[in-house]
Order: sequence, then structure tokens, then C-alpha cells
Amino acid sequence: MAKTVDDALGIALLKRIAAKDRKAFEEFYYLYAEGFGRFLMKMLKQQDWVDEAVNDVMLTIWQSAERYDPERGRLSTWLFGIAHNKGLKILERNGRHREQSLEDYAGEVDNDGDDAPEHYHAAISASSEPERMVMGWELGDAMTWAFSRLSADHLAVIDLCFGEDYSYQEIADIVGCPINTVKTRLFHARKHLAELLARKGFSLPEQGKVMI
Amino acid sequence: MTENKPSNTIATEHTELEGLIPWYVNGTLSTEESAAVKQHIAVCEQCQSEALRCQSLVGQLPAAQEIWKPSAAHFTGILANVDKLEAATAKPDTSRTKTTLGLFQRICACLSQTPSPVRWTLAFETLAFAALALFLVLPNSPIPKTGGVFETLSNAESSTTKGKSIRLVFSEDMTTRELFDLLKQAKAQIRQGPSEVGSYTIEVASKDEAQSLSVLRANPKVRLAQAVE
Repeated sequence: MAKTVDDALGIALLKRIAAKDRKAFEEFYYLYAEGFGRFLMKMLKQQDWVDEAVNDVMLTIWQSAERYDPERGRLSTWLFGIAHNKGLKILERNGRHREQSLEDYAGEVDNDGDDAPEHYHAAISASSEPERMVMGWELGDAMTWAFSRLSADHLAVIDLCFGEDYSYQEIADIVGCPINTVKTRLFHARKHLAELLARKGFSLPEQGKVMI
Repeated sequence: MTENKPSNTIATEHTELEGLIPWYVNGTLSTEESAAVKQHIAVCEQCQSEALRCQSLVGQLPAAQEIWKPSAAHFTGILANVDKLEAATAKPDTSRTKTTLGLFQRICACLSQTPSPVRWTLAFETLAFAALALFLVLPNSPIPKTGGVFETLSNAESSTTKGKSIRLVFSEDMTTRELFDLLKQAKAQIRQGPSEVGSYTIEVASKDEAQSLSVLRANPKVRLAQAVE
């Protein structure tokens, strides 16, 4: 989303929204809400929470459209920052902490993998270690499970970096912390992800060639 | 120490560049940063593995289990909340306009919150002050002395006097109603009066003068009924 929507169009709509133009507000919604809604869906994982968060983001835009300054960053960065903040508030209001997993983290150590997908267990028992590592669909299941175990903070930096292609400066702006914190957080997030995958006998492939 | 320094520098550089690898993979580093990471990866196996893991993470990133899509129903809900928001923000505006109300309106608002007896006392005091102020402000013209002239509406001289005039004096308990009934019986009309001493001058037709005088004098509340030349 961040890469596909033209900022100039969004900025023009924001100017009209600042003048309380509801038609522009509607156009803005259909242009941008899907993007930050997708981000919120990964963060909150519940449709009704995302509905509420997107609603809150749009209300903030309605009230503060004139506050966006193109000199300070991309429009999508500003929007994702608002979305991240609203998402965290919903998590907190529902008794979740941003440092905690959305799943029952306490049961993870004692009850190893009981809440993993059923076909995941079948695949693990039927496969040898090398096979597990190369079979993409198995790794995909393990990744889904591991991601569900990540905290909102860790999930956000991984998704913003590898899913939404934001720079470290933009991620710092979105999550509202210093650049070094973003780097450290992403390092620990990836480390935690690797540990979770390792518990299920997986690791991220290192074959191939660095593309850049 | 001199031998350790380069290795420390290398270690620091390695840590710094390793921290940039995720953004090297997503292509958002500056040209200088990107070149530095690329150069480092070429000689550092650990960072090369790190870059490959980051690269595979991009491909393996799970999508959200449910897809969230904008909808007309959801946007209608947002608009309803915008309306509520506008209504809520309109209230502070109302209170702000209160501050710009005129002095009179503010006094009225203040009085409406004051207990009734206090309110009336304040009103009387205000009127008294207003009267005093008027008295002081108005030009110092003397109050015209009437000189004891007692005038009534019927004091105006009648331009036409066709009949005979009769001077009338009533007892003090004569009511207005009884007076009008008596004048009706006597076929008379008031020309002047009451005077300062309470006398009236009435007029009757010349031909009825005797009859009128007779009617008037027959009334017990008439003290005097006398024809005037």
C-alpha cells in the first residue's frame, strides 16, 4: 500500500478533508484504509478490533488532517503511525500488553505445539529434518504459528520492515521510538522468531544468493 | 592495545552493519549505507547468512489470517461517529460564544441563578439608582408650580355654551355611579369640575332648568344646586 498509492492524491484529499469535505473523506477511506487495515489485522488479529481501530484512525484524520506535514515524511508513514497507536490502545483496553503475545504465551513452554495447526503435527511426524526445512508449506504453517506467538511490538517491526518495506527512520516514526531502539527491537524480534521456529524443528532457509 | 584496536573497530563495524541488513534487504538504505553493507557481506559469512535469512523471511511472511476490507457499511458507521464528534465539539463552541454575550444577557443569566427575593431587591435598587442618576443628569429646570390650580379634564372651557349653568356640590359619600345617574335624571352634563373645593358646574337645557334643579335638590347627597348666571 505504501508503495502503490500516490502521496500527491492523498495530500490533495487531506486538504479537502481539513475543509470538512465528506466526499474527499470517503475517497480517502477507500484509498488508504485497506493498507493500514491490513497492518492492523496482523497486529490485532480480530476483525471487530480492526473495524474499531480503522474507525479511530479515520476520526483522527477527520479532526487532524491539516496536521500532516509532507516535509516530515510520507503520508503512509503518518497513517501507519496513527494506526499503530490506535491498535496499541485497543490492545491495552482489552487487557493485552504490547510486549505480550496475543496468544496464550504461558502455555507455550509446557504445552509444546498443542495449539499448532493439526496438519502441522502430521507433517512434522512424517518428515525428516531436511525435508521439513525445504517444504515451503510446512515452514509456512510454522511461520504462522510463530508469528501468532510474537508480541505486538515485535510483530510490528517485522511487518513494517519485511512486509511494508519501511526504512528504519520511518519505522521509528511509526512506532514512536528512537532508531537504535527500532534496530534492537527488530534484532530481538527476529531472534525470538528463530527460537520459536527452532522449537518446531524449523529454521529460515539460508540457501541461495543475496539478491541486492 | 594497538593490535586490539583494529579488531575492536572491525567488531563495532560488523555490529553496526549487521543491524542494517534487514533494511539492506528491503532496499531502503541510503546509497552509502547500502554500499557499506554489500562490501561487508562479501567478506563476512555470518552477515551473508543473516542477509539470506532476512531474504527468505520476506518470502515467508505470513499474510493476515483474515483479510480486512473497507466497506460501505463500515464507512457509514464512521460517518455516524463523525456526526457525534461534530456535535460534541459544537458544545465547547457554544460555551465560547457565551463569553461574547452582551453585558445585559450576562446579567440576565446571572439574575436567573439568583434567588427570587434577592433578585427583586437588586431590581428595585437598580431602578432607584437609575432614577437618582436621571435626576442628577437632567437639566436643572425648576418644577413648575401649579399655584394651587386644580385642573381636571373638564376644566377646559367649553367653546359653546348653549344652556344654563348650575353649580353643584355633593356630599363626600357621593359615588361616581350615583353622580352619573343623577346627572342623567337631571338631563345635565358636566362642564367643569370637580373644582378644588369639590364643586361641579353642569349645564342643562334652558327649558329644563327648573325641572333639573328640582331633581338635583331632591337628592339627599346634593348639598348645593344653584343656577349660575
